Amino acid sequence: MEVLPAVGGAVEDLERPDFEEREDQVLSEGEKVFETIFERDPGGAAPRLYRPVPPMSRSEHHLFRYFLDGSFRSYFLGTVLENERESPVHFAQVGACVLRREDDGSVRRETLRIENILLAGKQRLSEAIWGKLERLASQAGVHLLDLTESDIVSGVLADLDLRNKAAGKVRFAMHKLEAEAITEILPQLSEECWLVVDGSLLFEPALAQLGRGDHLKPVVGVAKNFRKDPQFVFGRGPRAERYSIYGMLAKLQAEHRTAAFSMRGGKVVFWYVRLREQTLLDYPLMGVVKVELANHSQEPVPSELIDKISRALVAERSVTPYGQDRRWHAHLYPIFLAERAVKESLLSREAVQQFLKWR
Amino acid sequence: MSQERPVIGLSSATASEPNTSDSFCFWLAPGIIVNPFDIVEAEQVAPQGTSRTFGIVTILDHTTDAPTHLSNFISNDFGQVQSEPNTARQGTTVAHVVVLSNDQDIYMPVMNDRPVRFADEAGIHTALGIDQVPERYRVPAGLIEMSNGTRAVVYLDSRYILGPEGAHVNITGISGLATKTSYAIFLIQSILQKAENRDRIGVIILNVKHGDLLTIDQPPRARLSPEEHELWEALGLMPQPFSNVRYLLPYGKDTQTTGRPNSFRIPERNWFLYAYSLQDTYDKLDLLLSNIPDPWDTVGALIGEIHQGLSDPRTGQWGPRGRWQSVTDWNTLLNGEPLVREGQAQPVGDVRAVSVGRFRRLLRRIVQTRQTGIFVSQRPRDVKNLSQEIAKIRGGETVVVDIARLADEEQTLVFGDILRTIYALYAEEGGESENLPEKVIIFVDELNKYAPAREKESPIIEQVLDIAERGRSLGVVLLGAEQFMSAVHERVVGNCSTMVIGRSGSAELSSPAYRFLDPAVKANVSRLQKGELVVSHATFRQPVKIRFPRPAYLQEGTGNS
Repeated sequence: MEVLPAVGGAVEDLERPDFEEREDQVLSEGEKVFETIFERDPGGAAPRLYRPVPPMSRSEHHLFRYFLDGSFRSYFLGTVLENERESPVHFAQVGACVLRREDDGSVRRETLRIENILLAGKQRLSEAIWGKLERLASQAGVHLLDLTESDIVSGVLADLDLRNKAAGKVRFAMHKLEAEAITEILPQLSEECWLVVDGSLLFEPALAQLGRGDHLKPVVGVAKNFRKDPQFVFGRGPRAERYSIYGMLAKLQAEHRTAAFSMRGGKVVFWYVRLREQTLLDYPLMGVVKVELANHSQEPVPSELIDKISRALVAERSVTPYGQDRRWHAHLYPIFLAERAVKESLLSREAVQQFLKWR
Repeated sequence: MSQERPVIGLSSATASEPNTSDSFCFWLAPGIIVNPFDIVEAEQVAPQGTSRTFGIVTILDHTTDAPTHLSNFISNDFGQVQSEPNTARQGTTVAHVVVLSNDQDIYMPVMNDRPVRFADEAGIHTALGIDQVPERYRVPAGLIEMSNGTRAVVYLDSRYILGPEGAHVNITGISGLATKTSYAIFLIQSILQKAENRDRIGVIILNVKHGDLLTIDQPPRARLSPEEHELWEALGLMPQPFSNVRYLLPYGKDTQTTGRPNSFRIPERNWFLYAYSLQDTYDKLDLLLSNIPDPWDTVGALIGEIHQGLSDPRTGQWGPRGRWQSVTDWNTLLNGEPLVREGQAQPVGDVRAVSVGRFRRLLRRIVQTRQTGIFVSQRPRDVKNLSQEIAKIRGGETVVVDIARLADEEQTLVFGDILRTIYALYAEEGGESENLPEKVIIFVDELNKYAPAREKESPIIEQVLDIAERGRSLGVVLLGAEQFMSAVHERVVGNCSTMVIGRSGSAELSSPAYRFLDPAVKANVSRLQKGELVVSHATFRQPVKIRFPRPAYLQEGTGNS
């Protein structure tokens, strides 16, 4: 038996289950065992499970130029009662921001999208009431979303209580905005000018547009939290080694990456990178990010490219939002700034609470 | 017009640090350099259009999104000093500004995200209230130089320097920076060149150290540098030495044989010797013994007896009579009757013999054993009576009285004599003489010697206080300087409507004398460079930092302070 100790004693559990991890689980629900190493060494060497990826700083090679993150703020306004029918009503602001990093390390906002959303359960209300809500929302420039309509994210919280489902709907709306931001930025990207997206790339329509065309899109998704139940098989035949994610990442050294694995039939390749020394963190699985790359060709990706991306990611460990975000050990600072740029652009709670009142 | 000047930042108000009627903050755009004492303007609301709120930067701070220093340590790969951050930590420099004025008298707090610009020269004048001072009352006091290169002449209101609204100037700061005396002389020159009725202003300068003030009517040997010339011109002043100067130099021990005064330097022209015989001093013995502790007033009582005995009751002038008849000079006073008989001190009036004996010892030490030569038995014909010479002062004239080589008691006597003479001319005789200047400026360095903070009362303090408290209405202006303002009597400092502060230590600045300065300004005062001063004037809403040119007269050595 092996124990991965929490260095500082017990590590405090997060108060709520991490949505990012649950999304990751849902988005790759059908796949749990990953055994296809989906990279190829140009020299023809057999892939290794762990590869060193020393940091490649901005001054050495400024690979990551753009950073995308979304954020939202959601408010429960009340419950509409119509005879025996009832539906919760929510208001939310969702936003997505892309920051561009200049050669001197400073960042500026490249694009920012903010959307106001009103959410209610269409099937829980009469057509007359829904129609009125549609008219009012249209007049106010607010998007009306149906809480009862299913989507991949709100399915994470498959719950009859529409109040719980609202959080998933809002996140789905945010991911849609992120996808729009990716579309806007794509023309500015190149082999030497990449976009880093916070979280997974498995959302549609994001994945579809990244998988389109005849060349690899310079976009990576970097998740700081990910599902903890997959199994990895390395090698073939009787000598194949099977790892749980804990087992695999416990042996992943700082400034190293794992081999890249295939998902969704090669449409996506993913691997893990350890940004920081294990000894400096509370728990060995901290400081590791999961990296996803949309793979249009569904052919193995050159190891050299994965190394380059990983090296640039390791260099991102400086600066960190330590003290401002509990996930600082795996958080990329420019992503944190993009999220903050969105949050700073949302209406304050006080403002929303003042102008959204039942009269 | 303001739109042509670049915006250097936007005002910023937060939940924990709101903008108020008196202050606001703004963050600086990247690459912009702002320093304390820069004057800025922020866009402000107005009934129609916008107005401008002017303010002076007091302190700047740089803040980042790192909640603790540990965050930065960890961000640098757990303490790797060589690591280069891939993304620059988000941070901004915030300038804290004290509001000076608004061009439409609107003192609403500056709202968030309003454009802030460097003020131009006209804006600086509006900010300081100089635009409200009529041209004829403006006296150039120095030049404001801001971080963006903008220059503006700072004008003092002569009504607050020379009266009647206010008076007196105090200059303080540590020595060795050639600043205090230079500034005092510069300011006098500025007044003499620009003030209304300048030909009706007389100036008395006491030279207390070295000989730099004994050549103020001679041009410097080396020409002023182009930069200095430019500074003079920017201020609208002519870089020229004083004219119409009379020097009064002390008689020394060797003067009788050498003919040379007891001075560090002899002026080229128009100098006269002065000395004190008993006849010149008998009514000023209180000043001479001003520094002697006299808790029971025995010395004071004996001085009163001597004064009475040596005065002619009919004229109030010198005229020993009765048992004082034999007193003709210092020697006969100290060693003859009525103070002494057969070598023994005698009681005089109510003063007992033992106190007379103490008085003799003190006076002998001052006027005989340790004197510099200024006390003479009889004043030679060509040696002047200082009091009478001072009383001859005319408008447009500058009288320099040298006391640099005198002993402390002698310096006190001379300064007190000058003050008493001037005060008598203006207060007691009503200042109605046709030839008397309308205003007299008296400049003295080391003011703390004559009006120290700790002493409650003494004849010299009373004399200085008389001038400080009544000079404003009389037209007598005290221009005092010292190293430590905290060492000067608070009523003297309190009556000065203009304070000029050079570089000072933080311990000195923490004394109550500087409570009129914002804490941030105090920190800046301790960093002032040579030639830089902070001026607080009655009409200014906040102290400002200025530069001034080197005086345009012959100075030798670097002994000035």
